[in-house]
Amino acid sequence: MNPQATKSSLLKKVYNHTFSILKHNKLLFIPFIIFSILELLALIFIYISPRMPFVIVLGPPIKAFFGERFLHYPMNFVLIPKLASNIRTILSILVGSYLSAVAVQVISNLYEKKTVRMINVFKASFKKYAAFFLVVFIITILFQGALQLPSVGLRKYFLTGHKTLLFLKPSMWFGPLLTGISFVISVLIQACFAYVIPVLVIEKVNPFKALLGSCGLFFKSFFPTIMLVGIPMLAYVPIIILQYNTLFIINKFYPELVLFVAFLNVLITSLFVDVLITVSTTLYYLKKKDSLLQGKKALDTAEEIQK
Amino acid sequence: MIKAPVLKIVSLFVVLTFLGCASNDQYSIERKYWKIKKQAEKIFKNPTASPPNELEQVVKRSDAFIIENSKNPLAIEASFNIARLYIVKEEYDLARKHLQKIIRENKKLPVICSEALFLIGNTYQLQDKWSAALEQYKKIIREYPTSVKALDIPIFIAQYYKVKYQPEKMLAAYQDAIGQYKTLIEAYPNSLLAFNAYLLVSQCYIALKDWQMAVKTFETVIEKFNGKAKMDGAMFEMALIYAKQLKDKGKAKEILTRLNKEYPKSRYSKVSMLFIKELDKQ
Repeated sequence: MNPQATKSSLLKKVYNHTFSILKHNKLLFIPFIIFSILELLALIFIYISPRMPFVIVLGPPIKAFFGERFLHYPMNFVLIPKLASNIRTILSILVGSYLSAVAVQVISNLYEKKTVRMINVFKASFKKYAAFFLVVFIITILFQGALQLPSVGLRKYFLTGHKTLLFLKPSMWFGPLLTGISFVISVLIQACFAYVIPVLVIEKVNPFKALLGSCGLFFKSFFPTIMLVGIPMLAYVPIIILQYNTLFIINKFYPELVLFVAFLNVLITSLFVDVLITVSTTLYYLKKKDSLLQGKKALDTAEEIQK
Repeated sequence: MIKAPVLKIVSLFVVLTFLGCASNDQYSIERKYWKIKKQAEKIFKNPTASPPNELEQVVKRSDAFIIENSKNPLAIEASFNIARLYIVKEEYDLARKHLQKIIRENKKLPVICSEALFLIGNTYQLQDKWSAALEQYKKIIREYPTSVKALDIPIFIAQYYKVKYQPEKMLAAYQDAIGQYKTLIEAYPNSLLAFNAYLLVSQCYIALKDWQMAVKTFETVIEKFNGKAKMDGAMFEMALIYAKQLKDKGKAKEILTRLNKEYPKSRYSKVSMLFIKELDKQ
């Protein structure tokens, strides 16, 4: 049998199962809704930070880290995408790690056709909070480091006096190309660590084994994993383009549109991209595990018959 | 069930948000002003094509904004914006009338008055009435000698003559400028104003191609203000004059070495290193 065809049929099965689970189990959305509410609250805080009385508390850190001008209209909108992204990173480590584990546990229970009691899942997952926090913290550091690499490399290259790279000027490299490269790196890193939480929750191994296990499975199932992570992330592309053109939006339309885009970003990321990636990769992992077990059983039976 | 303290915090947040967003704080004033500025931008971009009622609308909205926020610095900016709109629409009399009003209302603020006088001068200049413009420019020097505009004006006048191909008048204007800056230096020695005036004197000597005097002025300013202000720019310019104009490479190298020693983190540091290498090659 053609292995490529097997992989694509498995992908199809995974996506069918994903949509079916999401359609019939609205409970699964709870962790993602909680995360999106937190993100939206943070976004509201960012938006109102230059206004009285919030500016008294939030003004000084913004002034110290980014500059005074970002506390004034409409420049505060320029900062919204950056601050929203930073807050999302912090929330992902502190809360997102735990909520992902809750979601994975729910998917695992549904897959095994067990009854799901959300409160029990929340309680059980909280016991392993430290492990989830640690893995997401490590992944975030690797992710941020990897995202810095191309810009640092390009800066060094052009600072040494080069005027073009592959016939393209620095403005092209530091503009749309860097955004594109960053997107590809995001997909690769996310795909590489897509199975960490499922391994941690389902196999109950230590965080470092989970990290290695996820990387191993990623390299073994490179194409399906990239598809499972990359396809939902394509929904994020229009948002990237809009956020890349924040100044254009402010000058050509209304600054408030930047806030709308940021809200849209939260909804798309937390309630669509994250949901699809988490559910599909967890199901893929479970199906892969099942097929391995079945294969092993078949081998054992064949050996017994031979004996 | 949501616990009482959580409910209290959420209610407080909602109330504060409502109060903050409803109040007329600096942010909401900036927002109102931005909208007026956006409308004005359309006229600035295409003054001839914009209809007259558009100007009327912007002026009306700006006036209302100024009355509503009379104590806010943006009110002054809005007022200047009205004058600039009249200028681009070639309504010079209206512009001057408005600028005179700004001067009357801000008599005690030299920065605002000097800027208004400068714009009045600009309106005359746009009408090809140089002597009337010059009168306004000289008024700035006379009445607000310590303002930033007053420092810029003497060189601005000299550059006008340069653009108009009047070399004799240009040279005379530069000599006048040097005299005015030196008067300021004498009146306010050891001040930041004197420091800036010294640098402008050296710029005038450079324009006059009097390299010896330019270098001498740089030396004086370095001697008087070293430690009080950053001298890397002055040192670099001095080195350039020694190398390119006075052909004294030894002196140029000496100054560049001093620059690197005293200001290792300066933005001139890398360039001066390369410059030293270049001088060594030659």
